Amino acid sequence: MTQERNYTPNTGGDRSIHLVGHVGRVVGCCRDLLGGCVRALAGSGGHCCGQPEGSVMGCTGGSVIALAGNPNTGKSTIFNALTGSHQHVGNWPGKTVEQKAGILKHDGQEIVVVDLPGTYSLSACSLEEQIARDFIVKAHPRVVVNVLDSTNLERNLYLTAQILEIGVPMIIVLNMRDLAEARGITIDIHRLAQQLYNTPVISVAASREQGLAELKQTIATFMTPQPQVACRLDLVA
Amino acid sequence: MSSTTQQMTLDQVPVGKPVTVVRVGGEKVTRRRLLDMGLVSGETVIVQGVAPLGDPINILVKSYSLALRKREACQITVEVQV
Amino acid sequence: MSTTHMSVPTSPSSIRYDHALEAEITRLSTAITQVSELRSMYRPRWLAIQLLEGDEQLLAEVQSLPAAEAVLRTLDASSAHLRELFGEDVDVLLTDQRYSFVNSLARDVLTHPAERRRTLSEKIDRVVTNRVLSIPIFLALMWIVFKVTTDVVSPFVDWIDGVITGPFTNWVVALVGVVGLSGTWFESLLVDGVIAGVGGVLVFVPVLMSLYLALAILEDSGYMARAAFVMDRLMHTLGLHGKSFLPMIVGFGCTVPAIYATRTLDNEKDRILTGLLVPFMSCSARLPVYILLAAIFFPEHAGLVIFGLYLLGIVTAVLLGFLLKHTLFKSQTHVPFIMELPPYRVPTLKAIWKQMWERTASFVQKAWTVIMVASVVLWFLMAIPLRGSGTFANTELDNSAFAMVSRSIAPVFAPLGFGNWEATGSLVTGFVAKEVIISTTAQIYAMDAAAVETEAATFAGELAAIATSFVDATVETLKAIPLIIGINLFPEEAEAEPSSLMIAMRDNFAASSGGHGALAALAFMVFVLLYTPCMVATAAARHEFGNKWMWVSIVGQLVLAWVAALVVFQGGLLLGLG
Ligand SMILES: Nc1nc2c(ncn2[C@@H]2O[C@H](COP(=O)(O)OP(=O)(O)O)[C@@H](O)[C@H]2O)c(=O)[nH]1
Ligand SMILES: [Mg+2]
Repeated sequence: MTQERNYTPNTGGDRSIHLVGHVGRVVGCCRDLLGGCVRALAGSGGHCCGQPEGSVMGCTGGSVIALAGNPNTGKSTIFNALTGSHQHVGNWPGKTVEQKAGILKHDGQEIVVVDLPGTYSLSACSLEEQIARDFIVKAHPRVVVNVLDSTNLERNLYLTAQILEIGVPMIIVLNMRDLAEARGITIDIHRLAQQLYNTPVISVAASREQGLAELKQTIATFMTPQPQVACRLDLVA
Repeated sequence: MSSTTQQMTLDQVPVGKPVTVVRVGGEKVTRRRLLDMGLVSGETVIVQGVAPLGDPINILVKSYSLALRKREACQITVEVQV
Repeated sequence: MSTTHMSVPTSPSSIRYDHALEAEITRLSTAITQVSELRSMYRPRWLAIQLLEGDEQLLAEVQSLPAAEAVLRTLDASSAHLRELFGEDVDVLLTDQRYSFVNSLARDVLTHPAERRRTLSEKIDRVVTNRVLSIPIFLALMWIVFKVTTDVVSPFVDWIDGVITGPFTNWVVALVGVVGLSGTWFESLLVDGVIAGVGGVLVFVPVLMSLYLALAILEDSGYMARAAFVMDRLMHTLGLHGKSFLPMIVGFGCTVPAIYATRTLDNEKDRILTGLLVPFMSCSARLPVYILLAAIFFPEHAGLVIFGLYLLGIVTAVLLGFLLKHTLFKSQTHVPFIMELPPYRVPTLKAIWKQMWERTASFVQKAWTVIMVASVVLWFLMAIPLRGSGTFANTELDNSAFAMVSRSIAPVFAPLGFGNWEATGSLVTGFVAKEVIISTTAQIYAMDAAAVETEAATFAGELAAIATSFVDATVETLKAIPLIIGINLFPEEAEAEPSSLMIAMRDNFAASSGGHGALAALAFMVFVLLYTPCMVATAAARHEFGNKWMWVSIVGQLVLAWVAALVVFQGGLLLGLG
C-alpha cells in the first residue's frame, strides 16, 4: 500500500509533478479543462481521478483553483478581478449551467480559476450542487476559495463546514466588507481562522477592489510545489 | 417564562410573528433543501409577507429573506408563544 | 487589510459531531478504508458522512463495487442504529449539528450591533412585493423590457441592415469587380447568399444586447427573484415557474432573445419547457404577414383576426404547457420552490456590460454557421434553373429548383387550402426568417419591389454615411423611448398598400382552396403563427437546449401548425364558412 494510492488532501501535488513545470502545457490543459476533464467529470459520475496518471486529471490538480460560495456573494466579481480578460465561458458539458474558467497570472505563474455555480450546500440535490461538489471532490483543485457574504455568515458558513469535510485545502474570503462595516457588523477573523483549523481568512470588498492583492498572494502560497518528501519517502520505503 | 406555546405549521403563521422551528418534514429532497437553507430546529423565523396571489410566502430566517410555497411551508412545524 | 498568520497550509480538519454519530462515522470510514477504489478517490470520513446522509449518487457508486459489500452492511447497521437512538433520520441529525457548529462559530466571531435595524432590502420589499402594488410594478417592468427589446432597438436593427445591404454590399461588389468576377454567379452568391446570411445574424445583435442589458439589470439588482415571487402562483397553475413570465413577454417581440431569457430559470426542466412554449408567443416578425393577409381577406375585421391569432398563440402555449407538464415533463419527485430573495444591490456597469457583451458574442459564434448554411442553400435552390431558358444564377424563380421543391411539398398543404407552390415557397423561406415571407411573396408573384437605384458612391462618402446613419439610429432610439409609456411624439405617415400584390394573392388563395380563399388564408395565418419562428430561433434553441430539443421543437411545431390549420380549414368548410 503506497501513499500515492491513499487519499491525501493535497493530491494535486504529487499527480501534477510531471506537468507543473510546463506552464505552457498547463495552460494548454486549462483550455482543455473545459473540454476533457470537466466533461469526463460532470458526466455520469465519471471516475476521473481513478484513472492512471497521464489522463487529463493530471493537469487539473496542477494549477487549478475553484471559487465556491452561496449565490450572490461576489464570486463572479472576484473571478473577474482575478482573471481579467483571460476567460472562457461555456456550459458545463451536457448541462445548461454556465461554466466559467479563466487564467490568473501571478508572479509568472499561470493559475486556472474555475467559477463554480453558486450553491447553499453541497448535498448534490440540484444540478448546480452536483457540479460544484463533483468538481471539488474529483478534480482536486489546489485550493478552494470559499467566498462568503460578511453580512450573512450564519448561513454562509454552512457551505464552509461542508467544504471543510471534503478535506480539500481552502481559503476563506469574507466579501462585502464594506456592507458589513456600514451595518456595524464586526468579524474577528483571527478567531474564525483558528476555529476553522487555521484555514486562511481574508476580508475583502471585491467590487471596490479592496483586499484582492492579498487574496492573490494567499492563493500563490498554495501554488508553490508541495513538499513531496512524504510521498517520495513512502514510495522508497 | 410562564407563557405557553402552541404548535402549528409555518403556512398558518400570521405575518410579523416570530416563531421557532420545531421540526421539518416532507419528502427527502424538500426536507434536505429546507434544512440546508437553515430551517433547522430551534431557529427563529418571521413571516415577512405573502405574495399578492396568496401563495409563496416570504420569511426571514438567519437574517435573510427566503420565499417558499405554502406546500413547502406546511412541512415545517413551528412553535408560537401565546 | 488584515489577515491571519499564513503558514504552510495544513491538512484541514472538519467539524466534530456528537459521540454516537462520531462512533458510527468512524466505524463506516474504517470499512471504507478497506476498499482501495474508494480510499484512493475520497476522504473516507467524508464519504462515510455522505453515505449516512443518504446521498444517492455516491451510494450507487459504492453499490457498483463488489469489494464494498462490507461498507454497505456497515452503513445499514449504522443508519438503523442512529435512527433508533435519535428517532430522526440521519441527514436531519447531521444538518442540525453542522448548523450548531456554524451557530456557535458565528456567535464566537461575530459582533452585531445591539439592535437589528430593518435593512434597506426589507424596506424595498414592503413596496415591491406588496399585495396591491407588486403586480402593477411587475407588469410595468415587463412592459419596459418588451418595449426596449422591440421599439427602442429597432433603429439600430435598421441601421445594421442598412449598412450591410448598402455600403458593405457595395464594397464586396467592388472587390469582386477588382478580381474580374463582376456580374457572375459568384457575385450573386456572395451578395444574396453569404452577406444575406451575415446580415441575418447581425441584425439580432442589437436585440440581444438590449435583452441582456435588461436581464442583467433585473437579475443583478435582485428584482428577478421578486418577479418570480409575485408571479409564481399564476405561472405555477400553468405548470410553469414564476420566472417563465419574462421569456413569454419577450417572445412577443422576438423569439430569439426570449429563448435566451429562459436562462434566468434555475431548474433545467422548467427552462426547456419554457423554451418550447416561447415560440407560440407571436413574434413581431409575423405581424406583417397577418396584416397583409387580413387586409386582403378580412378588410372589415382585420384587427379582430390579428388579435385572435395572438390569443390563439397564448392559448396554445397554455394548453401545451399543461399537457407537457403532466406527461413528458412530469417529474417523479416534487420539485420544491425554495428561493432566496437576495438583497437589492445597485448593479455595476462593468458587470452589466460584461454580461451583455459575452452573451451576445456567444450567440453570434454559435448561430452564424446554421444561418449561413440555410441562407446559402436557399440561394442555390433559387439559382439552379430546372426548366425554361434561364442559366445558373439567372433564372426565373418559377423555373428554379426552389419552385420545384416547393411544388413537391405543396400537396402536403392541399388539405389546408393552400397547396400551391407560391404559398409553400413563402413558408419555406419563412422558415429561414419570417420577415422575408412578404418579400418572397412579392418576388414569387414577380412584383419587383421598387427598383433599386444605385448611386455612384465613394468609399469615404459611404463611411461617412454609416456614421451619420448611426447617429440617426441613436436619435431614433431616443425618440422611441417615450413610446415605452405609450406616448408617440413622432407619428409616422401611413404606408401605401401594394394593391396589385394583394389582388394576385387573393386569386391565388381562392384557386388553391376551391373558392374558399378567406378560409385558406386564415389557415395559412394559423400555420404561420404556429410553425418554426425562424432559423435563428432554431439555432438559439440548439445553443441553449441541445440538438435533441431543437428537433423536438421543430417537428412539434410543424405537426401542431399543420393540424391546427387543417382544423381551421376543414372545420370551416364543414361549418359552411368562408
Ligand atoms: N457592496 C459590495 N457589493 C459587492 C461586493 N462584491 C460583489 N458585490 C456585488 O454583489 C452582487 C453579486 O455579485 P456576483 O459577483 O455576481 O456574485 P455571484 O453570484 O457570487 O457570482 C453584484 O451586484 C456585485 O456588484 C462587495 O465587496 N461589496
Ligand atoms: Mg456568479
